[in-house]
Amino acid sequence: MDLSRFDMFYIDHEVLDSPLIKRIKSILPVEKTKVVSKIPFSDSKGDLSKSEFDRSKKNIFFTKFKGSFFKRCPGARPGLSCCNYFVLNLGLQCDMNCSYCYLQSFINTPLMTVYTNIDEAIEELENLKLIHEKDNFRIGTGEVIDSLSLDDLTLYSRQLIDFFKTVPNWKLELKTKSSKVDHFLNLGPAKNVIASWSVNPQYIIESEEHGTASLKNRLLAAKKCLDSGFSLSFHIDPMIWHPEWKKNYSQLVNEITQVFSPSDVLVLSVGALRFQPEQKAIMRERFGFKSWVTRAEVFPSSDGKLRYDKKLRLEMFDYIVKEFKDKNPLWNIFFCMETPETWLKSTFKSLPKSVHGLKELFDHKIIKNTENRLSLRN
Amino acid sequence: MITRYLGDCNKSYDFKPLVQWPSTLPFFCWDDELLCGFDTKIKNELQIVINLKSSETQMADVLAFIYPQLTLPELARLYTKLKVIKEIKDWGHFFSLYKIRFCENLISTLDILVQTPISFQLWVSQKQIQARELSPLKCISNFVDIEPFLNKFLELNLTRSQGIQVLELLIELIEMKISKEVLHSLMNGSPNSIHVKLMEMRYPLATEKQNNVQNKLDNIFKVTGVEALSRRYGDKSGVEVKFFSETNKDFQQRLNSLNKWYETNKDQDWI
Ligand code: SF4
Repeated sequence: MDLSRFDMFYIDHEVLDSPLIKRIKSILPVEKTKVVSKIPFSDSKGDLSKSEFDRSKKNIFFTKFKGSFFKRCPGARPGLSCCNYFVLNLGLQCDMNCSYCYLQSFINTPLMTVYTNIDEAIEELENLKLIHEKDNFRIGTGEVIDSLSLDDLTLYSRQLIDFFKTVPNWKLELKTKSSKVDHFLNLGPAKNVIASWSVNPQYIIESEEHGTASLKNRLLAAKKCLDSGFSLSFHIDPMIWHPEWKKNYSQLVNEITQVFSPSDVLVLSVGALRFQPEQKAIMRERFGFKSWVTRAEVFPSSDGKLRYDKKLRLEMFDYIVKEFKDKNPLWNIFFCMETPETWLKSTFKSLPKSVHGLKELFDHKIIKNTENRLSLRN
Repeated sequence: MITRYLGDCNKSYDFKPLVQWPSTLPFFCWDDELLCGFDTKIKNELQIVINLKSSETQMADVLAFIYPQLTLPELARLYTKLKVIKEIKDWGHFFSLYKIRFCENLISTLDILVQTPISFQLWVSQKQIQARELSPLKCISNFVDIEPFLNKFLELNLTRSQGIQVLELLIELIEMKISKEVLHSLMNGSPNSIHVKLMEMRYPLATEKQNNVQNKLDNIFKVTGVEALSRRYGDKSGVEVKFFSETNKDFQQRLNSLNKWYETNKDQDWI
């Protein structure tokens, strides 16, 4: 793996004996590695400035996570339909650099953190398994860190895949914009492990998703996963308006459908650009106005986030749904992080739970029960 | 109490405080640097000034004692003057005395704010604008482009919230390379119309769609006593219908006319 893009690797002295550090210490460049007893740059307070945020992407801190690894997806809020799954946070911050990334309004830690105690995360899962082995759980690791961009260093996916193979009813989603899959392919088949890509037209990747894998490489990695017996999902999210959006998204649909058929893809979701108003300032500073995200015509929506005009969103969703359905009517698409109204007005004319094949993904009953049990434990 | 004469004091900390130092109050200094009354026209160079520097006091506390309230531009000017002399070691403490969190974001805002025209700084002081509300200033790539607009800001008579929005829109439009001539032409008229014109320029697609709906309405919506307007509320755009009724009968009549109109036009693409 290429470690040259990082400025420094800080290791919390408390985790020197962790299996991860023992394994990777010899890989880390000596001149860039430092053992510390305090979080570096922790004197800075408040929201991160542009330079602090940029720095946080180039410095990794290996430490232990103190707390519960298992959390509910942030999309699950009143008034917001969501795929409502659980998240396992194995780190914080991302080494790639998308202009719209929500971490810009979320992170206030001065460096990228990788938690070394994955064994404890797996132990938590083992405990849940005792009660919920038969339930249909869906768990993702890519909420506040990309699931795979550092995985060729940590190899966490391998441990997780090994565990999930013992609980076939549960699904593990490894969500990424990288193409790093080679190191776990030999663990397949594992149909309950979903290798999942956010995809966008190559034009948008180049203008907005800096440091990520090209569309070609993402699709290539997805094909390798499919061939090795993993499940796949694609998230065309966020769709970004630009003058050539129809042509470019149509091309994207072509590229996906040329390689994959509906039966290859477990979940295909679509979402449009959205971000918290307070994210605007740092995005403007970091990406200027060449970006289609900072230039976007966005307005406050009912949940407080800035979004495109609702009619434009519907037009974009309908367009992409039609493009897929024209290729093959069996393509099933759902909208993530959208309001129920958008669902109803879109091509589907129904809420997610009533869309064929999606019921299981939106089963709030299981989630409620689990939450209750988790809160009893804490 | 250590004192010195006014004539022996330097004025290099003069950060142009907005309120003139009352001549009835004593004057203070920190060693040989005057801390207040910079612009007092005192003829007598022998005026006594109290030196507040001591081993027990911190300059930050002394300043907060002399100036319990300062606006953001005053703080920016003061910070710029003092950061070079390194007398204040803990800026976090200094700004906490003004209930402001000291962080890199604040520093960069203050650094830009002191470069803005003094009339703009005055507007910021008058409207008590906060550092976060000035964040658009930080994305300016070429300060010369925005300066003429900031110079005019005070004269525009914008309310606080209009001003914050106009500032953001202006900076975004400048950074989106809209020509200065075009922008200057928008900066005339009432504060409200300036805001509307800038919004239209910043959101051209949405504006065009909204105008198209209004044009259609102007052509087809003919209901006596009822007005139909193309409107946007947040991310939703649509048609707002307005009428006024004095009586039940009147109200019923409007509804009937509206219904009749709707039945005739419901298949047209008008909303
Ligand atoms: S890949 Fe995801 S987490 Fe990383 S910068 Fe892009 S949006 Fe953020």
